[in-house]
Amino acid sequence: MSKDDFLSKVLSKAKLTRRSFLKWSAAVGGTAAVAGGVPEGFKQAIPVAFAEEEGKWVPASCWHDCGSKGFNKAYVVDGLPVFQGTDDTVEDKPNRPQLRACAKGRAQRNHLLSAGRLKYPMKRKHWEPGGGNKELRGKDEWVRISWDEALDLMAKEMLRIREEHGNKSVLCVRPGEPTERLMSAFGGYVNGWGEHSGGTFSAAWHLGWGIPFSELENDRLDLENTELFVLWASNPAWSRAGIPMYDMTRYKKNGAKVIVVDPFYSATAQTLADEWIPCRPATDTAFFLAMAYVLLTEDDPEKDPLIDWEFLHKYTVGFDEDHMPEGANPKENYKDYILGTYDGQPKTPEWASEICGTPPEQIRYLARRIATTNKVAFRMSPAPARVHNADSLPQAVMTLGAMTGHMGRSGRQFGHDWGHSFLAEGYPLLVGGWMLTPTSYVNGEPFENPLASGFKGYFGAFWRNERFEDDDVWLINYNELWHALNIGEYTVGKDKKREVDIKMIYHVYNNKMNQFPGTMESIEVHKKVDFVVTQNLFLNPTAQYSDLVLPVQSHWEKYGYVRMGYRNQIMWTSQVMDPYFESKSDSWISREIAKRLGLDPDKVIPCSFKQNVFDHVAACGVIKEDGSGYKPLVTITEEDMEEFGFEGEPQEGQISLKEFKEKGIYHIEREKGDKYEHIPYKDFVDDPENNPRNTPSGKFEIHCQSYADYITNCGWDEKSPIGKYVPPLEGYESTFEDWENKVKGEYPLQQYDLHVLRRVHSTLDNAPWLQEAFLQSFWMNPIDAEARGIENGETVLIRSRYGKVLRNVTVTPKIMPGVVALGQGAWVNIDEETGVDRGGCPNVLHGSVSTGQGHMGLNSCNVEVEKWEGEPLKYDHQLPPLVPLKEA
Amino acid sequence: MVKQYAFYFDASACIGCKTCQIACKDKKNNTPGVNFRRVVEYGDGGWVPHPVHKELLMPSNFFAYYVSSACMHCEEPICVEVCPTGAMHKREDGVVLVDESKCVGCRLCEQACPYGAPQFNEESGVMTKCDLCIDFLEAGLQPACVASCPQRALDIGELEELKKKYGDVNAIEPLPDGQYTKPAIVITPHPDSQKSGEGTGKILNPMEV
Amino acid sequence: MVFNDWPLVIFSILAQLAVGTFVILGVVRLMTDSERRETAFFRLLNRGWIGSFVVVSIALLISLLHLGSPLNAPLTVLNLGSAWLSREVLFGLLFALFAGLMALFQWRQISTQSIRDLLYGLGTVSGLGLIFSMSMIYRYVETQPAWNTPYTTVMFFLTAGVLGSLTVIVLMITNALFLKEDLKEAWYGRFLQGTIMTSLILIGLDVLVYFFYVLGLFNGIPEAQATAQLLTNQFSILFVLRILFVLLGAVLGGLHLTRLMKTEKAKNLMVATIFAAFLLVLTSELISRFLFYAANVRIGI
Ligand SMILES: Nc1nc2c(c(=O)[nH]1)N[C@H]1C(S)=C(S)[C@@H](COP(=O)(O)OP(=O)(O)OC[C@H]3O[C@@H](n4cnc5c(=O)[nH]c(N)nc54)[C@H](O)[C@@H]3O)O[C@H]1N2
Ligand SMILES: Nc1nc2c(c(=O)[nH]1)N[C@H]1C(S)=C(S)[C@@H](COP(=O)(O)OP(=O)(O)OC[C@H]3O[C@@H](n4cnc5c(=O)[nH]c(N)nc54)[C@H](O)[C@@H]3O)O[C@H]1N2
Ligand code: SF4
Ligand code: SF4
Ligand code: SF4
Ligand code: SF4
Ligand code: SF4
Ligand SMILES: [Mo]
Repeated sequence: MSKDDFLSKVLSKAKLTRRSFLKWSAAVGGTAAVAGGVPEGFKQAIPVAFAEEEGKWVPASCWHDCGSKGFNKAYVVDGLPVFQGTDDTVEDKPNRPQLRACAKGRAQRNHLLSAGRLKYPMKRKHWEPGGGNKELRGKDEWVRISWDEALDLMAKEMLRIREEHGNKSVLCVRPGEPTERLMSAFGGYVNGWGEHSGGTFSAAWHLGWGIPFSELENDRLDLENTELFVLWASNPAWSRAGIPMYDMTRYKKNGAKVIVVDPFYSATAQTLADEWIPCRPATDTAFFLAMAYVLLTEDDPEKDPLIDWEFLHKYTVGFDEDHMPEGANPKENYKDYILGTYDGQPKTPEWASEICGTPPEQIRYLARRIATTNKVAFRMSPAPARVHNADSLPQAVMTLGAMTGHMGRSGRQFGHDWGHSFLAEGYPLLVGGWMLTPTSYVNGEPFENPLASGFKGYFGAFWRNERFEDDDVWLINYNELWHALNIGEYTVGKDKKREVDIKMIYHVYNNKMNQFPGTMESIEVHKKVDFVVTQNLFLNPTAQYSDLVLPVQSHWEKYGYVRMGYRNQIMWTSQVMDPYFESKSDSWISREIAKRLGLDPDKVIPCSFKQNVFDHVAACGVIKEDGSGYKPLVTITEEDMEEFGFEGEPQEGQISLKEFKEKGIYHIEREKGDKYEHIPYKDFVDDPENNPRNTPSGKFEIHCQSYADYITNCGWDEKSPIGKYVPPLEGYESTFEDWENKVKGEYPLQQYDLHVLRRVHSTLDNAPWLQEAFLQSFWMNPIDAEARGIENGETVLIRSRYGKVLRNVTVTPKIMPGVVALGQGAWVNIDEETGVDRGGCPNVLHGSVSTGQGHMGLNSCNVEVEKWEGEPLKYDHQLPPLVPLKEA
Repeated sequence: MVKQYAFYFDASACIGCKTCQIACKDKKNNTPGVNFRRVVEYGDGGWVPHPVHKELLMPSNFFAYYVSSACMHCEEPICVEVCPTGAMHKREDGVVLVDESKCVGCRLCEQACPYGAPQFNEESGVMTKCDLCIDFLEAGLQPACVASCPQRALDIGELEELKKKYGDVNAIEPLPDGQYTKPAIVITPHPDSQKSGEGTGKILNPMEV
Repeated sequence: MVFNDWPLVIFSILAQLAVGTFVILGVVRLMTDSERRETAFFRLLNRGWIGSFVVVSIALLISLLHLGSPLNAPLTVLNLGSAWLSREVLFGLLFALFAGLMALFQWRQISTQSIRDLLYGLGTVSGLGLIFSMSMIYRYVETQPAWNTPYTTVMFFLTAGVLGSLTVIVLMITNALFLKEDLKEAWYGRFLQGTIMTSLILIGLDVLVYFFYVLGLFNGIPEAQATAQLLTNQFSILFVLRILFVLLGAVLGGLHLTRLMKTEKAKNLMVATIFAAFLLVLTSELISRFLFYAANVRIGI
């Protein structure tokens, strides 16, 4: 349907007399007009009364990477969504809870129909082949162009750049499969490597701990047996919306105790905590070492047993002199490090307290409480691991778990969830969709980026290996990406750098200018290259600094989407509405560019979107009753295929195609004691001989040479094989100019980032309803505010070594003194005059620097905060929406 | 037939996630500034020096919790009593509704209601508020907010039955004492909940409600 | 802060002024022998009835500005059973009607004295009813401690009395100026004196009552205390001006009693000072009413 059809359809509906519910969407199609800060699209408030016969519920996707899963549906009248609903397909009960969406999911309609959506391909006015006036990026005017023009122009410039500079001058970071296939067929592209979420847990599998995914946490039914939960840096109320928090609340109501360790008196702490123990960000390792010290020095196997020696000796290596892995230096054992035998510094609670800000007796108390409680479940988010130099944290956590024996046993766990709770609780009972295959084209030919051969698909480049040094592998670590491109050199290994000269940046399905550290350098880089293209739904920051912007369709506008929920649900959502104006799918765009590049479009995109969705549906699997494997989920008949227009083989499953499509979700009901209960490491703990860990020693490695070597080879830091404390690049210690005499330095505060309710990273940041409901806050303790003469609600300037950010401050005792926090994901918005970010993007404050395993180092940077004397900031919802094109 | 519909709210389970608020906004297609359901955060706390290690600061008297509130469909609705036009009225099943065709937009109900439930719509010039999603109720569905809550902290039902099931608390800070309007609500307090009128805390998110 | 209750401030003050004027003019009228009711002075005083009618009509129109949907205004009388606002509207309309008739009859000398007395009676009753129900609208709102107090009624009546009496004084003095009569000699001198005395007493009461009202807030429930704090902190300047202006007005009014009436040449000055007094007091009452609407902390959220 052409844009005119869409517009006239929407407009004509607005005139419907029957019930003029569509007034808002009339304006959605309209211009940028803004009245009193209210986007035109939402001025009218004429609600639709629900009447079964008039519309229908359509399962509607919420596909964002929030790590949590929710089921949405939309009530569609005459082709347009008039309101949303959530899972009511099953009766709600703890063994089979409804999969309810979060606030963000419920604002999808508002987001997708808001005035900020991209409608047409656009070109930067002063762009010319080779770049034109590059300085104008970010402030030039936009010119609407046709798809043909856009695609021709893009293909031509791609060919020129390849011709003149080669494929290794094209950067495209994790763009999603349709683009990966295109760019691979084009001859390859420079990609990034690393992991955003997991921090230093990402490579902790070297220890024999914390991966594969199903080995992170116990099954949700098993945790009903837990007596004490220690939620360390864990705020499921905000960042694991849905079942994880619902479950925690159930456990608590059934009598479990909860201790929360966090610099922030989070919503989780408010709701669940019996005790809240504050600790500074980025200092957790010290805290853990001190707990180990308490257990070691106070343990008396007879009178006061605190340590599970049997566990340590049977299942681990490296704890003490007598249990070292082969070939290791016996002096490099954990126990002597803790006691300070060789380095002269016992890791006492007093020592740790100075660093982490938690009183020594609380450290002692927590250690003893964990050690003396029968069933403890320890949960950590990767937030404290998303810290520079935090490579010892996983070892410290695992070791405390081993010392107290809270692993591999019912009701007991010592784990983390890698930021994505669907990775927790155990292997999935329903499989399909995005996670199922390395390619999301189930029946498509495999593909490979010629500049990263051997690293297939989405998860290909989490970890570094020796191949990175080979000439045909071009992968740059996420954290140093912008700096590397800025100086033209990146790290390929220990003492090995390589020159890189990027001419084209192609942003698809991400917002890395905003989401990688070093936003200020990223902007510089964007102003240097010849050609920047962004393919997105909105004019997000990367799009703002682009030359060409291609509007894409959301999953609400495509045939369907298959996605797993938590362990027990799988969803098949459907098309809710017609494509928004001229937006196209990512796969359509790839096909069309392929044609113009002289490639075979059928090789790039092997089948129609619809057929691909069907292939996914057919491939969905459900666990067999005995837990031994998967069988097909969906029953598909010849008639189904005829009716829906798919090709494939008929199959027998648990639910008919029609029912699945209509309901949009399939649940598995759980039963206590069923075959699906899951406790990580249980098989190892039950029978270590026959189920060794995947390490040289076959055990958990407290002393782990392979982990140390891995990190050392990454090229940024040397790592000891045991979990020694290393002060972070920018942590608490570095807020001092003189640590010994406690003289504060130029940046005396610790800033860290929170994953907030307002958005999923930078996605949904511009949804008007969410902007109104959740301010883009900057949190600061009253003591720090008072010292700077700052009052609640005032605009403040936050300065770091790398950039400056403006924000209206929320002065609250809920955050520790000395610590300040921003919600991550806010869209950068640089004021051209002052160079200050008015948007509140924390990556403006972070430097593009890699440490350790090249993990994200976002949860501590040093800042100073002062009152802003310029014009005060307005809150986002009081500002006019960012509208891509001011058209007549 | 229901005699008095009522909401149930579990303050010990509410995490302030505002899913209910957005679900309501979506169902009612409300403009910015108009929210039939709002989530308030209430609490307090401070930091005091550690008795021995003076340079360490420790949290003291900390508490905070959330209250999600919409119209209480009160048994003695002050909004109805003050309304000059009769636009604000109470149905037989207890639901308090605005008849927008009658409303003169004098905003007196808004001034009077201690729950901030009536929300004036500047565009249309009339008062609007929570109607308990009666269209959903009639179709056998739950109100949008209730069905949305990921924490199962909301429910609706017959007031007397909810009272039997959950007790008769109908006010915690920062909600007003129930004496003013006899709100049709049953609350399970948060362990830190404070009694209405006696709270020592304050609303922590004034800009967001 | 956006304050959108200006129409209410103006409406209520004007309506109270109109009622006050109407009632006090009537008292003067009743206390005057029937032959004197035909004098030039008295006929000029009749402009007060017209004024009262015009002011209340304007007030009623202004009140419409406060409504989001003024077209529905006719519906506002539907809830006489429980809503004081409905009663206010009814009394307001009745008062306007009687004030209008009274003005017309007095001006055109239509119908008999006793019918006009009856009209006056009806107008007074509906005027007082208007003020009473106006105050009851606010007193009824239990959730607003700034309103939910008997002081509201007393203050509303005092406003009517203070502004009404001052209006009548202004009328009398301008009449005298116009007729070039000597106040010391004129038969209506004692009326003027009496009215000035009345207005001074009313102003005294007005200040006293306001003082006790704020004191009551300070000693009330937390929301009342918060209201009082708003008055003395955020709105402190207005709060001080409110008291200052009314007292200044009283002093200027008082000058007439003690000095101005006694000196012959002072007439222009007299008019100027009485106008100033009137404006000061009017401003003070407007501020007071503004604070009444703006500085309040409601119970609840
Ligand atoms: N609403 C929402 N949810 C999301 C996302 C989102 O953008 N929005 N993103 C999703 C994704 S991809 C990810 S990776 C996850 C991330 O989720 P997490 O890794 O859990 O990170 P956060 O939610 O930022 O932080 C969790 C808690 O850790 C605390 N914390 C942070 N740093 C430290 C530290 O150094 N020490 C200690 N002790 N505590 C610390 C914070 O105060 C917070 O209470 O969230 C997922 N969920
Ligand atoms: N400072 C700081 N930075 C952080 C973090 C932090 O805590 N602090 N957290 C980090 C973490 S854990 C993560 S996971 C990353 C996430 O960072 P990103 O992966 O960059 O995620 P988003 O910002 O959500 O960007 C997704 C983009 O894809 C677009 N999009 C959505 N659907 C489609 C589609 O179908 N097609 C196309 N073409 N585009 C689509 C959205 O509009 C949005 O612009 O951020 C990291 N960055
Ligand atoms: S944003 Fe995430 S948790 Fe919320 S509904 Fe969407 S997928 Fe679910
Ligand atoms: S949805 Fe539920 S948990 Fe979330 S704020 Fe509303 S009532 Fe509280
Ligand atoms: S909560 Fe307010 S609006 Fe609702 S019935 Fe009670 S008084 Fe009326
Ligand atoms: S605003 Fe409407 S509903 Fe409210 S009191 Fe006035 S007329 Fe009644
Ligand atoms: S019942 Fe309906 S109208 Fe009322 S608060 Fe809930 S969603 Fe909003
Ligand atoms: Mo993440």
